[in-house]
Amino acid sequence: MTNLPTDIIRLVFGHLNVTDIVNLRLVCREFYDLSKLRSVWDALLRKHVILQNIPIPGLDGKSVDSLTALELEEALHRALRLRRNWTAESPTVKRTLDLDAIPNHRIVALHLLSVGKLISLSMFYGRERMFVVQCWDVRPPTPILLASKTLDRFGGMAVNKTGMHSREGTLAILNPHLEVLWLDLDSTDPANGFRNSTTIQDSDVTNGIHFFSGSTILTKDTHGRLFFWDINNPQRRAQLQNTDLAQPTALLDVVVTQDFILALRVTTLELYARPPPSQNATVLEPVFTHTWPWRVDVGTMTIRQRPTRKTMENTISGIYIVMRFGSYFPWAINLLHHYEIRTNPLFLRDSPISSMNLPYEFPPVLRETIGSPVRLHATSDLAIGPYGSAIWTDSHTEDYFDHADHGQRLAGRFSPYVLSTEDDEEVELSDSVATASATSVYAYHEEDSWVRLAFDETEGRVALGRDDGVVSVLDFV
Amino acid sequence: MVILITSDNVKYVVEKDVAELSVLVKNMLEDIGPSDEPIPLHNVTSTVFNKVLEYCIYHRNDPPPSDDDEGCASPLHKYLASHICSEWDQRFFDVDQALLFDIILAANYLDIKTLLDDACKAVAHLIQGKSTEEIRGIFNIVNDFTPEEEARVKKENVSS
Repeated sequence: MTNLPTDIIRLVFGHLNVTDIVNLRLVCREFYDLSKLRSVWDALLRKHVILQNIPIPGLDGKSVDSLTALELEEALHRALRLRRNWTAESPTVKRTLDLDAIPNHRIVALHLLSVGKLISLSMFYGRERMFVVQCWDVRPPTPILLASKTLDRFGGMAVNKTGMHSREGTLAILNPHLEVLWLDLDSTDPANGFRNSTTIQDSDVTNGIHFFSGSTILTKDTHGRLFFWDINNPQRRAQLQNTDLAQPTALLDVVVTQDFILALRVTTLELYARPPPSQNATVLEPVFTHTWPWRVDVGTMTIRQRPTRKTMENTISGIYIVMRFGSYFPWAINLLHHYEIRTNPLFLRDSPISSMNLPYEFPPVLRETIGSPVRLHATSDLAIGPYGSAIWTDSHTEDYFDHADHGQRLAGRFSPYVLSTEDDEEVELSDSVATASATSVYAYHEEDSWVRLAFDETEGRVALGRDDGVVSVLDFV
Repeated sequence: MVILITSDNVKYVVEKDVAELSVLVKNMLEDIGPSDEPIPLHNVTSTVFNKVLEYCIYHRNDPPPSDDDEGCASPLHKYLASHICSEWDQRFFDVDQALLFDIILAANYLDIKTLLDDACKAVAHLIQGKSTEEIRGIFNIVNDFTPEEEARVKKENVSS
């Protein structure tokens, strides 16, 4: 076999899996050298990880194309290791990190950003109303507090979805004016870590920030009306208005793309077409409204990640929603609902979105219901990842403790999205709704202190915010 | 009909669609235009070409391979393609190693992508699940590492 040309040995390598390559490496010098070729690991990573829709942790913002042969090999091992651990019944926490709490504070919001950054918002539970927003770098070996800012007139916050390096800033806050903050990584003092880039004094119309991406922002006024606008052009605002509703209900989550805005509200799911930038629209009406059968207590959405293929650029992906309905009683239902919004195969991409040309098929399809009991007055939170994981906290702890009156678990369900068929349509799932339970339990404790959850599926990282202000970061790779 | 002559001067008269499974032959035919001139295949002996021809005749009606094998084939199709070689293919590649490697070289030279790919799969199949020592035995490869190098490579593998 060593007489074969190198190109052909590489073709043979292409049909082998990682273990075989690692065994071949020890056979002789020639195979060792071949096993170190970048093209070999590039092909293996694509075949076994990227096309399998498995996320690659630890890239630190680097692209796969920029990695060396050794880095590709390590990336492949990390990705497969994380997938094995993450989908195990009892995944191993590889590292736990507790961030220092601010005394007498409780965590009220938590976000994991790319490249190991964590944003926490904590609230002082004394007489005055005071909040502290912090940014940490939680990568090994030790956590570093990068920025900390006290907000005494806090009214809302949104993290820039485009990432912390966005030119437009990392955070938008109301304090009480709209301020855009960016993270100064060169600052040695956390007190100066957040820098203000823009202040928009317009407290009349802002009463909450729902979304911030690039320079676009979605804010709420004192009447609960939603406005979509650009921070570089604050005069021009488009109101999202659903005239079918007597009064707008609270917004739980929003997905915004170049073409549309999908709003998950307590009573409805609404799709708005984004007008072209040239058009000066002041009111946007939904092109589709779906009414939920019950009020939604808590819910979150994500655009599904699909294997990257050259032929599929510029196509839209399905959207997944995980939520917990409320009940007529003042407590939530002990079930999570996992919905899927499928892409509409008849959607004409080059034509504007309208009620006649929808990018998705409505109504959403209920994929499964997941048993998740929550005790009366207990808090629970949930999060969803683009690769197929939903995680949540609930009160199902009888299996671990002899009592059922307190205790929490962090559980999750991994349902890999069905890989596409020939014409890129989803394989038809059974019409009957599957009833499911958690596939993995990631952590549990004999307290009820977890109040907030943040999830980075790519890094295999979960952050849990507690009512005493502590944030625990769990790494699964 | 196309006339092909192997390196050991054996003449083959082959139907055009079978011969054109070889991109090399196809290009040569295009270059010379309509003619009865025999085409010489310098790097292929008749022993090997018999096998190649057998493969081409059996697979003459297969759909052409797509350039983008990550493309649009269905998961089932891909599964079948990668996991189950047909019984015929299995028997076809059940030959001694020297001939198998000669088939690979011929497929490479004649530019018959499916044959090259299937033959490489057959070689991969010999390696799959085998230990380093077993692979050396199968292909009669001498371990040319120094003990120090071998220890270092082993250590590299463990840490990954």
